[in-house]
Amino acid sequence: MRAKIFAAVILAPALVLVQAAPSAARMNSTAAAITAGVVGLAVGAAIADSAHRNPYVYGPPPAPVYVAPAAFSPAANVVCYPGQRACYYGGGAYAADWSWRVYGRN
Amino acid sequence: MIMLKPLRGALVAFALCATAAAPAFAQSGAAPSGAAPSGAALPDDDRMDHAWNDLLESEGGLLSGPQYTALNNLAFQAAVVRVCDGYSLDTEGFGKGIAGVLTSTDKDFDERQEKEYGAAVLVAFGARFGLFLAEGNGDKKDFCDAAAKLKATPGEVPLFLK
Repeated sequence: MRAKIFAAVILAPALVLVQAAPSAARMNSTAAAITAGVVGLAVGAAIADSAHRNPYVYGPPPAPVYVAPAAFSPAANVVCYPGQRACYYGGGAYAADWSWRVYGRN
Repeated sequence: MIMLKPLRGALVAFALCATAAAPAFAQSGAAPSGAAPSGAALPDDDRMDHAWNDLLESEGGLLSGPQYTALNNLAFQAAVVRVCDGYSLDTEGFGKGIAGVLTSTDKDFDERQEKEYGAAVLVAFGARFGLFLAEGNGDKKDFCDAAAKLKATPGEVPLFLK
């Protein structure tokens, strides 16, 4: 119900703008384009609101994409990857010593 | 046009705020102290980043953090024996290492779950073993240099190489 009211609030100004098209024609074309863009964004956001969209209409939501935690460098020429719990030598291979030092205990 | 000025001002202000806040967002990751400053280019390495990500996204909480570290160490050394000349595996120590990962769970499994867990751990080991084999054959010199360094100065790292 709240979503419907929200959509109505968003759509009403858009409809008013459509009704007022003749006066909009007198506006500077850039201003009209920006206004239309702002209204379009608001309407689009209301429609695409994933928390309220109907899965029967839109299908099941996509699976969340895995984003690997950011790598970091604990020392010069060493890069650690928290997702893998492993470190590598810069320009080189798996660094067993650094991996154990950084991730061996916790 | 006059009405658009506040809107334009707000958009510019928002853009400036976003630009100013960008370093703070970038630093909000899990990097511990001592990490390279945000934006600094990290050195490239031989890691197969996309393949690791494909593996890691499906593993979740099968093992605790240190168990994953132990599994990486076991898989790396098993791959060293295959890729680099002159190494063999301390099979007894290696077996104990694998058994340690297989049995050190705090989860209360029934018999069937226990078997499923064991299979999942071995799959996790096998996937790591395969990825290290690929990385090792991708740049054999780097890989075997790293192996030689580990064998010469293992420090606290459990060593299974002979």
